[in-house]
Amino acid sequence: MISSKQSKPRISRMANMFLAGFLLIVGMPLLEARPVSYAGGWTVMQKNNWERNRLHVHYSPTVRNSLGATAEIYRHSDREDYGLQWNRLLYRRNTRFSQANLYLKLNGGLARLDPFDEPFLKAEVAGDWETRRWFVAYSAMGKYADALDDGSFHQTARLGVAPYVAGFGSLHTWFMLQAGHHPEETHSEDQLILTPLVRFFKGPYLLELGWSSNDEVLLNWIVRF
Amino acid sequence: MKTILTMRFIVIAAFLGLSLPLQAQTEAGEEDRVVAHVEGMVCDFCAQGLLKALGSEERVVDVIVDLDASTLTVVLKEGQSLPDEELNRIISDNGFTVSSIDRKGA
Repeated sequence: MISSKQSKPRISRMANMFLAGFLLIVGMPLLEARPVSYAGGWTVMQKNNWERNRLHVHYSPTVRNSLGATAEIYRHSDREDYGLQWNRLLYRRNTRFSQANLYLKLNGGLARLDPFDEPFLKAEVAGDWETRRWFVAYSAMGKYADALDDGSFHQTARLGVAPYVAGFGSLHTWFMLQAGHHPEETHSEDQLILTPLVRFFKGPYLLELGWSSNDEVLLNWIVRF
Repeated sequence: MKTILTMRFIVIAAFLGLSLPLQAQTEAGEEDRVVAHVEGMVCDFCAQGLLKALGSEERVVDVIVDLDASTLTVVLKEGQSLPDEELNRIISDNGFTVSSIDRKGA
């Protein structure tokens, strides 16, 4: 998204960079605490949807934290974001039949859109609850990229059901409905997007295929090792 | 008479020979199995971490995840041990909660 703030004063840019740095520094002590994925695990994930193609590679030193690198290419502009991402598991509740999680995700780096190279920051809070049959998730994200993006808000919710309950090591299948709300989008059909999708996973491999209400394909995959 | 005694000896020896190793093997097998009842283990994708963590242990022969029963069975090498505290820590470090641990035959 290109804003009308392309001639913004330099002082404001510095203030925003300071704010981004401050947020990262304030959050940093949490890195010392406990572990997101399993400890010692690497994850490669790629998300492709109506808005962007995103690659995220991360390492989880503990089960509460993951540190990784991200690369994003926006599909409807020439913008590219390259950055680092820290995911933090804030809270987990386990019961015999369910698991609930609350995560904080911070992603910062450099956004490129000729002729600009601007720092960007994305902050997201995400929660999920799942049983072996049901899955519910919600996330709220704010992003800012100085001259390229005035600051925008995005929220996504998912509801999923497994048509059969598979055992460990078998092929798991989920039918899901994703609702994405992007109030700052200029095209009204992109402001509220519904995406029915199917998720498959087996062992360390996960694949999602969907079709969005704005007539775009969703294709996500994750590999853990 | 001697033949009868010899036959009895052979039968008893065969019985002891077959049953003792079998009994010893069963007890060792049971003692080497630790079953942890795990809360939060609802996701195949997430439980992979437990396989990695326990599978890399020298003492461990096999790790069996049963999502239906919410159990994690660890099969240890003969003569090896895995104390409750250590198993509890490994499972907790992977984001799950242990509700109880059974040691069959111990």
